Amino acid sequence: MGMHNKIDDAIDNISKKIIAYNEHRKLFQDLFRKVKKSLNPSEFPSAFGIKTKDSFFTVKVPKTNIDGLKVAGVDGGVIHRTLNYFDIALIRAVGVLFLHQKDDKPQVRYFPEEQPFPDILTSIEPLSQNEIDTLISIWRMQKEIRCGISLLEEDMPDIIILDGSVLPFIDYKQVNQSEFLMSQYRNLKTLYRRLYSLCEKNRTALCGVVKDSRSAILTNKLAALLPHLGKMPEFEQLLKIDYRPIVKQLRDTDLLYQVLDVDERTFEFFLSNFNDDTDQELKDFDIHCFYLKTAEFDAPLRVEFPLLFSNQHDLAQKISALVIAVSRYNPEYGLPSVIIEADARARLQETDADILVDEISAKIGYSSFSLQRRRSRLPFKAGD
Amino acid sequence: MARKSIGTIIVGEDNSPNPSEFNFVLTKSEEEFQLEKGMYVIVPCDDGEIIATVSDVYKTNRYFSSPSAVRAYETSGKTLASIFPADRWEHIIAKAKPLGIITDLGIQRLLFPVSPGETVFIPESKVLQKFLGLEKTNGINLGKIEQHDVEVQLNLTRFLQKHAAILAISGAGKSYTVSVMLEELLSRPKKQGRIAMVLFDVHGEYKGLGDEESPFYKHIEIFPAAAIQFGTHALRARQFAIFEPQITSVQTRELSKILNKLFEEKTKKNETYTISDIVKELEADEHINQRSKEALIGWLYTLEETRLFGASEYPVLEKILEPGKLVIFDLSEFTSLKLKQMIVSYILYRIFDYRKKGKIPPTAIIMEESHQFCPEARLELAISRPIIETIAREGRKFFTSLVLISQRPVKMSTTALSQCNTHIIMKVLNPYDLDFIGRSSEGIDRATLNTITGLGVGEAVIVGNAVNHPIFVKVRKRKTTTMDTQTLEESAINFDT
Ligand SMILES: Nc1ncnc2c1ncn2[C@@H]1O[C@H](COP(=O)(O)OP(=O)(O)OP(=O)(O)O)[C@@H](O)[C@H]1O
Ligand SMILES: [Mg+2]
Repeated sequence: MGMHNKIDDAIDNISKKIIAYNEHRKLFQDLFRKVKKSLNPSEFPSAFGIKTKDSFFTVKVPKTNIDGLKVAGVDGGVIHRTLNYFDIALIRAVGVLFLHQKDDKPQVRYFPEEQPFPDILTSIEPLSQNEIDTLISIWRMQKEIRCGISLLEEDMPDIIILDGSVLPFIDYKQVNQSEFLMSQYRNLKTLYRRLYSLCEKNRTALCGVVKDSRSAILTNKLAALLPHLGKMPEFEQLLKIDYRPIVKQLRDTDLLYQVLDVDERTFEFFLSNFNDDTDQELKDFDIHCFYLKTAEFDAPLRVEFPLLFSNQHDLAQKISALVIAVSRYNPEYGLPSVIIEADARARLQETDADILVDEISAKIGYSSFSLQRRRSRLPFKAGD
Repeated sequence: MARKSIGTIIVGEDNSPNPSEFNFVLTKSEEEFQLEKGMYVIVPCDDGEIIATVSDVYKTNRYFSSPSAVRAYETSGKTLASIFPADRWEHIIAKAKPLGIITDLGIQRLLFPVSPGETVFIPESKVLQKFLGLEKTNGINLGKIEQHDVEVQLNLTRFLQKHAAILAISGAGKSYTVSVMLEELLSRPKKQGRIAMVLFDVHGEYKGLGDEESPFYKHIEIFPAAAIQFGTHALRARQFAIFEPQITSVQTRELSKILNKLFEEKTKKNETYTISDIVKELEADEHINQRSKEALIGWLYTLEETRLFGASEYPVLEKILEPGKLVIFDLSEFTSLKLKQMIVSYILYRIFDYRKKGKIPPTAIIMEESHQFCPEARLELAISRPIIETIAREGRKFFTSLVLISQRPVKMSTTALSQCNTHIIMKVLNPYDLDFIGRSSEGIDRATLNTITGLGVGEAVIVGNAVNHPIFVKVRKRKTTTMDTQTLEESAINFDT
């Protein structure tokens, strides 16, 4: 009986929280929908580091004709196995370049080729599980950025779109603890610089598209800004309640899903500096971003870009227009076509790794390797 | 010529590869190589070479594998294929069924699966011929395995030492196939071994084969039914009883005595006799019971009215049956089935007798509409059935082979059909016939059977003794153009003028 009550209480409790969250979320969504044409981010106090040139909260993205334009995309694939503390990763990256043509399907080029054989990378460094994960994502980024570089060395796209962030988002503190990781990270940053400078030289627009629903970059900034927006009548109401914990819970895409209409983006704003403690002495880049609604029934994309050229407002307009043009095909799925194709080419199958692991096991006559995979599975099927 | 690789074996979702099936992805583009259902492929492995047939071919494309995604994209007003390089994701996958493995010890059944990743090749003609049990030269060339450009040359012994059947609906090309087979038999040179051929032409459609323009003119002799005459003296009492099944066994024995006596007397004088002579002899005999005597005389008169019974045999079978020669009995002018059956019965009886005595060469007997001559029916409606069944059972020992042609196999004597070890099956639609063929053809599997309804005119499946595996053959064009088939227009014009 007691048990029963506890469960009931928990269910009650959770349900209440969800209902409350939904109400609060709706409050914010409605509010920002209302002010999206009147709120002027360029007037936000400079102390908040918004650094925008846009004078509206949301901006309509101009339609652009992509006939004759070259749009490139890069994505990578990785599969990782641990064999008795010995880590093996299969990694590959594929760049695709669509030359869009009037009334015809795009002409396609692949870099380095349609289905490249993956690199097989191994490490015997004494790293923790977290460090291994970091190492493998550094490896993957290295591979992707190298692929982007070789694409830019061979062809001159109008835009190159990376799948994911446009800069290496890595836990710097963790990297700092291993010399090996640090050297790999430095190497990665050098590659990014090379990519940026090639784009600058070729006047190729560069961006990364992030299809995630968890970050709260914008909502956190707005939370800090809200007390300063009190003079707008729409916000007066809000300031009367304790809005801070509510905003903290709210994710960017959660808020923006309702605020943005298709073909709209948020104002562009400062995201981060490229430099960190490892490269203070080198030239820095401001990285900006905006959210862009590319599909009616899909969360908005975060589009990140380094300010490589002087006119950043134009840059946001140009990038958003191109990304929209190649992402607006499917009302349920809003990724750029080049990224979809690159992902499909780069994606690795579990069986690819299995084959490799089995081959190695057979060579060294060590059967526990192949057992590894089976043991890592649950003994019973989950679900049902 | 280097062997042509066309694909790579993959892991299928259907637990393949396994010993009875594997899947492979085509590694050649469609322009380079057109893979078709029914093709043979070969997979080399450690123990030998695995031969398989392609049982299905299908295409995949990840861009089109989710219907909802396809719809969603196409709401943009553009097609998926115009947004993505979707054509580059198209793969052709084939399912194949291993037939066996060629090893140093010969052809064996495959008991283990092929390995994923192995390369799939197109077999060379000579490998295929060997595997299927075909001849490279000197065989009976019926046509081609179309997809491989390999001639289907059947080994004469394997094809005709036992018997064969050609089964199909009307218009599928049975008679055409027969004429192709005859051309082959007629063109064999002496040193390859030539047999005599006898053809019962029910519709008179083979007359053209013997035309003066025909290259085989000299080797073909045609006898219209009206010219045929039985040598009465050559018939035993048993034969009369078969012609008139109402003759009882007691009556047969009486008749036999009379015939023996007559035969002895006449041969001494170097003479023959007719039915009237038998009747006279019967009337003169005092030992026979009066009722039997009257009945026998009655039956004999009925037989005489057929005007088939004479004092001597025409044509003289012993003379006309020669190696490499075709004798056609044109039964088309007779409407009575009974008379046609009597002729067939008499001739077969005589041929088999001569063959046993070694007086004529090995002979193939080709019988059109054979369901009319050996139906599964009461004896009085199936006069020729006993001799056909006898030859079916015993002919092999005396190199007398039957080629039975029919559009209604269900109606045929199962005894006769079951002795046909090679079946050439062309288009069949009737489910009963199909089912019957499935049961009576050895080595025909469901999949092969299912394709029979889809065969086109001139296409056939050969199963049984003549081949190691069922073979799809496109029957070749005839060398002679003469066969009496008229269009409706021609026939109407002929009638009008
Ligand atoms: N291999 C072939 N090549 C070209 N034409 C063919 C071939 N086989 C059959 N035909 C044509 O198809 C038609 C029917 O053929 P055929 O008379 O041999 O059929 P069938 O099966 O004997 O029919 P039926 O049971 O009525 O006697 C003919 O006009 C013939 O010329
Ligand atoms: Mg016919």
